[in-house]
Amino acid sequence: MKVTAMIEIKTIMKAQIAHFGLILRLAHYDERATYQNHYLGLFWQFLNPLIQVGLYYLIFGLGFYNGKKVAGVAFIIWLLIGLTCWLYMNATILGATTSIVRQLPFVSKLNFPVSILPTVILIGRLINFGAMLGLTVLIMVSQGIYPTVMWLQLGYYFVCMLSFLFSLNLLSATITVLIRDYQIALQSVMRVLFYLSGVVWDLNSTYFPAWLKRIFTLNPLTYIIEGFRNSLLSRHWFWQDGQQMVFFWTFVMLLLLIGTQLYFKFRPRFMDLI
Amino acid sequence: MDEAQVKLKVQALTKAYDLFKNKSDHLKTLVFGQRAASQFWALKGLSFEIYAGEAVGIVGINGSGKSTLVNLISARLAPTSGQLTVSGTVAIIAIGAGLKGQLTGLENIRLKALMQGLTTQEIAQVQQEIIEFADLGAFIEQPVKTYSSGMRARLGFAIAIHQKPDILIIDEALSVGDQTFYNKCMQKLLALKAAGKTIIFVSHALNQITQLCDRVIWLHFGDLKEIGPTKMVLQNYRAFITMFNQWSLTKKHTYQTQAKQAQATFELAPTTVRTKAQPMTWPTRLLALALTSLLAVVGLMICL
Repeated sequence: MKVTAMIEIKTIMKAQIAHFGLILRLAHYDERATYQNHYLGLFWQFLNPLIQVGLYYLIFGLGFYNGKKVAGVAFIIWLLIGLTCWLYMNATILGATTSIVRQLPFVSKLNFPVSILPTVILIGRLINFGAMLGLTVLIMVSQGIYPTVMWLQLGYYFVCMLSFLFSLNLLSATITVLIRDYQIALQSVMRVLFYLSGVVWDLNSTYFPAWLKRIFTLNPLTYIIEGFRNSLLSRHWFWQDGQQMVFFWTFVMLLLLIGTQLYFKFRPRFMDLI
Repeated sequence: MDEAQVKLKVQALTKAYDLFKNKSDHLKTLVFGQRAASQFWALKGLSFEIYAGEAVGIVGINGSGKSTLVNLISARLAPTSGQLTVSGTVAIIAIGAGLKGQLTGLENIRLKALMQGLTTQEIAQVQQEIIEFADLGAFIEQPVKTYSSGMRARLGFAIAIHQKPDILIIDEALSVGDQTFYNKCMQKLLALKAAGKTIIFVSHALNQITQLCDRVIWLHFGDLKEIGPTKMVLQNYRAFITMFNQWSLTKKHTYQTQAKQAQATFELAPTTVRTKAQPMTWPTRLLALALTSLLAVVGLMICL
């Protein structure tokens, strides 16, 4: 007997590649529709993160860490790297949950590759992510932190991030069609995870018991955020966290497996369920 | 008719909607995959064929299954059982559907064209044709949510016919336009028909159907009551409507209740194959189990 799961995963992947042009065009339209009625338009995409960076710097950088260095670097740099990843992942995860539910009424054909809708969000937000990462690198260089060979592993962590988000988003978007509560539940979970992923404070320097800190390292969001920090701050190579790496990728594969299974099981009935 | 090209072949087509008493009932069907406690059969087994170059009207009182049928043909819904073979592309125009209120008329046109996979060059050409046909003036640059229902219908119609579908479905979308636009649409539809396209026309306006359609399908509480030449079917349909309207309220009510009851208690023959999703195969389950175990083992190794 064939492992049909592998064929299904391949089908989903092929759909993404075959319709990549469509994904790009839809992403472009999504952005336009979102900011159509705002006077400042796309400017909000930059203003919003800037306000958040300012706020967290005030509360955590000055109030909590009292201007001290975190994990050996200035807090603002440590924060910017983490927040760049977090804002992208958070926006994508929350945006993708409703991607199928929102768009399905406009999709007039059953054979439309609905599985690309979560990917549209993933690709659409990449511009913001790129811009913020660029800005972070500029600030780092201005502060005397220069690129090293370790920056090469940014590529690896970028692939990690996209794989994780793709797998989770397909699953989330499908579950939201079936059970609408999922979206609200996920919002609450993300609010909790913001503090448990070490975005604004260093989990290692907290007074939590050691076993709890080890559990925190299982969090895929932490794996990605810390990965970006390891690369940009030239701390260590990704293969030095072997166990975390295996755990992360097993988790991603499991998400992808469950996501595709649910997707193919319920796809013909999506329209009935909405 | 034997030599004519069959564009749409429908065999014993049914569509059941699940009716849930409460949320937990709904959840059970999702999790355990069992059928809902009660179902409503919007279509109870239709069979017919539609040919190229033909305009077919669909009539029937409210709740007879007209919209369900056209949604099945346009593949927005999946059938419960039966066969539906469509050769060629399908476009559907329903009132207000398929337009994004946030985007301008022009952006809606471009989005639709993009979704169809047209190149930028083709879009520029099609776009001009659609704008001319819809005749919205300066409103083409305004968000669609500011449009009147007539303007929406015009834009929807213009977009749909310029998709150049082999089968064009119009679901009561012409009833909101004014006479001028209606005439323009009718000219276009007749031209499409002459060019060998197939038109499926759902309407309560029987004079519109007479003007356009060669044959008519009369749906009645999920059954195909009659199919045949326009004149004949419409005559019988009119006679039924007249008779129905003369009945007393109680008689009407009893009649409708009985018909709905039949739609609720309808059952497929035991041998009928339902269109069903593929269940998870054993290798897939094993793979899921293996991944979960690996996840647990590595997780424990890290934590301990």
